[in-house]
Amino acid sequence: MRKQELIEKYGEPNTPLDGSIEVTPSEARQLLKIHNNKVESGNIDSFVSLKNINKVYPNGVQAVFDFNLDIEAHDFIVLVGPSGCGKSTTLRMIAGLEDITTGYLYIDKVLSNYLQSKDRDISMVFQSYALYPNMTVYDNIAFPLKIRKIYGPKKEYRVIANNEVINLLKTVPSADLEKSIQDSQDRTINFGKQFEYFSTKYDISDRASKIIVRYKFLSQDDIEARKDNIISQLEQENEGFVQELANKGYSLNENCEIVDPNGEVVKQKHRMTKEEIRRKVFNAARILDLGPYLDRRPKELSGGQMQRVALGRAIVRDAKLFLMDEPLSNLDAKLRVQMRSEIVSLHEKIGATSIYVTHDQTEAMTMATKIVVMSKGWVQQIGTPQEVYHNPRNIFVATFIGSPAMNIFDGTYNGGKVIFQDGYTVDLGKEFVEKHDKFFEFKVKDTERILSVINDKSFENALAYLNENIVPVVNDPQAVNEALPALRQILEGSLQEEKDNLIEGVDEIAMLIEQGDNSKYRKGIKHLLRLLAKPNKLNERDIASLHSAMVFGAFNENKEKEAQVLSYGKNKKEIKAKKKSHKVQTYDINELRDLAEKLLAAFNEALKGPHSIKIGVRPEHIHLDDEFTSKNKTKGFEVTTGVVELMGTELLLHAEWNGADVIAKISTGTLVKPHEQVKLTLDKSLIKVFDNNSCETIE
Amino acid sequence: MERNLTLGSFNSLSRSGTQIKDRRRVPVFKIVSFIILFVFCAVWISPFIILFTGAFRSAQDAMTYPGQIIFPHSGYTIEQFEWILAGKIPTVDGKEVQQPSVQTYQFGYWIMNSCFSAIGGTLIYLLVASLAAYAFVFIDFKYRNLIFAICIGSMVIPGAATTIGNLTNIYSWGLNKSILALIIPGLGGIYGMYLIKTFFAGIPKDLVESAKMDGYSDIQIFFKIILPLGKTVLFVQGLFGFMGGWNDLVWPQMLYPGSTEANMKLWTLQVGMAYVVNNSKAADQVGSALAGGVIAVLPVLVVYLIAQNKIIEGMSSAGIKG
Repeated sequence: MRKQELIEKYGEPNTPLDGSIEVTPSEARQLLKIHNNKVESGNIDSFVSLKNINKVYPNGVQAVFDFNLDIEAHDFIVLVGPSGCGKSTTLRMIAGLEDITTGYLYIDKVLSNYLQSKDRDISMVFQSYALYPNMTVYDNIAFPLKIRKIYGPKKEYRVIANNEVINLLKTVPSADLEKSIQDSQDRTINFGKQFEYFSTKYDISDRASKIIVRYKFLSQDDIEARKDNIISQLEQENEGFVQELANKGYSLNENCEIVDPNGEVVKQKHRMTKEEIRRKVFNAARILDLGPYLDRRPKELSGGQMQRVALGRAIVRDAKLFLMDEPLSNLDAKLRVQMRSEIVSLHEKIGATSIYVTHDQTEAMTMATKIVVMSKGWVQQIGTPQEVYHNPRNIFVATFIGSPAMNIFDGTYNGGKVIFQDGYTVDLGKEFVEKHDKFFEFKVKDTERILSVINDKSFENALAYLNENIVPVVNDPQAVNEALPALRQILEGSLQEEKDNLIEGVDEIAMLIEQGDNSKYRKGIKHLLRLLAKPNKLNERDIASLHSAMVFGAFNENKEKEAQVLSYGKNKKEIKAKKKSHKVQTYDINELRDLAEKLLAAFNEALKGPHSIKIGVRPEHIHLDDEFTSKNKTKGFEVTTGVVELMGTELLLHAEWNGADVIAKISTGTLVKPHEQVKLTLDKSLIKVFDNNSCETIE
Repeated sequence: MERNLTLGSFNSLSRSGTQIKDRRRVPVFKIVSFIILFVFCAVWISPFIILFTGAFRSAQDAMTYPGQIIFPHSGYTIEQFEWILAGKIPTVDGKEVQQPSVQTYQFGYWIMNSCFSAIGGTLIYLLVASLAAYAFVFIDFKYRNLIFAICIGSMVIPGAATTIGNLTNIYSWGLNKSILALIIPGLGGIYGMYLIKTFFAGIPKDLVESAKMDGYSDIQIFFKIILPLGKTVLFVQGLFGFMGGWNDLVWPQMLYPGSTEANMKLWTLQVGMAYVVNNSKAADQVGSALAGGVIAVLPVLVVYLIAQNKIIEGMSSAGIKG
């Protein structure tokens, strides 16, 4: 389509495009070009929105799978996970440093996939700080501002400068001024040029301080003598400038902004002036306590100071979104804790929406308003720190969050009772039985639904029907048209998500035939054949749940290795094939079917009687028997202590129990010694029970 | 009996005072190695002594006994320099030493051309090579690795093999009467680009990414961040380029063959020197060749002496061995 037609149809160039309109891919490409890549979507509620983001690297490795996240303004999001889980990749995709393979990223309602990172209005703190070694701290912080163009009123800077000089001469005592002049000539004070001393000291523009330097005042008496003369001279000059503007029909308002003949302030895009930059840098330096270091170079700073310079460089820009990629991992433990609280207080002060990446769960818990726990490219759970800690969705989140990690035991469930390997039994009560049954009933239903989608034969049937009834008569539009309704009916009964798409295709073919367009409908049928030949597809959520069952669950003896091969492609042939295709991974549907069938059987089994489970108890919920009093207290059990670590306010007690290494966190009221018998007890209400097969929490 | 005694006393001495024993031993190895080094130094430095002293001797002293090399009997003079630079031909027994058939030397042009080739060529090459290196390191364009592999592969083709091709090109572009021809083929040099690339690869990518997020373009990043950080390697490569350009003989000689006056004005110092040497075979003319040699070698020597430390620093930071 022509450019002109597109503009007529979808609006003026360079304005944000409405994201809800539907266009063809070729049109979309042209439209994006015309509209400067700006697409807005009214359907997005949140400030930043990631929709089904996938990342496949050019070497075929898929790093991120179906990442979905909505971020509200002023949130502090922390992406946390073990190394290699795709959290940094996700951040770099938001920053625009990596391409997004599939999916959509909206920042402030604008589709940002195709925007360059500089157009996304984000600032980022890198793990290595990325300070420029050749520049001073001041220049480092000012660096982002020097390139920025802001849209603002056009000002008459000559008048402003003169006014500043007049003001200075009138208000500042001449003795004070004389001292400043002497200081500015003092070469030992580290200033680039003489006028810069005045600009900084009196917070005036460079233009004004240059005027002061130009007068070459000798002494206090000299200033007093020439003062009035200079003031009247400058005022005269100002009148001249105003007259100059008036001749063109413009005037000045009280802020020295130029007003056009219609009475409106003239606006233009311009670089920030040096004074504006200086004010912003000084402000950032004040917030971060960097004042004394502004003229140093990065290598003369300590790690914490470098860190703060990097933060300063990020905050001077007043960006919409603030990204931090493991900014504290290069600091020592004490400084890390200090900087952690500094970043939190900075976030409170500035209120910018932030996304923070870390592998340290303590940082995540202490800083976040919302945590995203990731593993192997999949999101495991999104929630507030409290939610993630108290209600972990599966065994991975439970063990990853919390320090020391949650103790996991193998056990058996039998009618509301949790039985450990050695026969130690905890009765979780009737409520839990209800929860348990509900959970498994839901799981059975859900797995049946997944299986039915996998086993759905509708596309196969449709394909067979198409091959039998339509392909032989493809050259006869009338016959094709007669056979189409039946095809539509088959497709309507389908469980696949893509069916709407296909039904639309069938309708379109029917329409084309009615219009008598004989060449196009054949193309449509070919397209249908191709789409129907593809294997059945599951939606992302189902794949995610099957995947976590595959990786963490009981069927994973060899499956974990296979899953890795699936995502990392150790096999040479596989890598080659992936390099060629460079596509988002699709799972082998047969493998998923096997898994789903096994899971279904296991879930059904679980509803019938005793079955094996995993039991999780956090170290802080294991207590000494004689110290803990609660109605939720369980029967005490004896263990022999191994190592005992004194942490200050508490003891970490290691022991062997039920074939697992138990860690208990005990307040130091009672000092436990290593290698002695102690009686421990559990807090019944806080025990987590995980299904052995899907590894999800039963609740 | 006597032997045992000496052996015993020797042992006790070595046990009680090892230092004394060491001091008494003659350091044969050191002496031998110093002698060898001295011989090699003498061999290496004697041409320079002959060059510098010969250049300041008068024409009649041009071939003196070795003993008079440093103290010529008619004293030091600058008449050789006057001859080659100002055209004032020295005389021996009232006769001028140079035949009238020889063209006057154009040392002024030669020095200018050499400076252009060495300094101008190096500066332009540094710009081209560092831009290419920046692209190879920091810009992710299609077929980047393939193009780089081809570049590196082209390094195995010896320079002599491409000379004729370059010459044909220069002639077909009509540049054979221009001094631009001195520097154009050198701009495609890979080695310097590779050197700079290796150094750039050591600069953290975060710096570039961060600047890009702030809104800087590649060319701004290149000039504001990467070039200041790459100063040392650019300096080293600049020095190599300067030496290469200054000392190059084959290429300019092929470009401007024949000692016509027009060609002579395009010669570099090295080509001119070859001509001077060729014309200075008579005993009383040798001094002119030596004086020319001093002019040719001086800039390189001075540059090396000034920049000695920086060269070593730059080489080690760019990871060059040997």
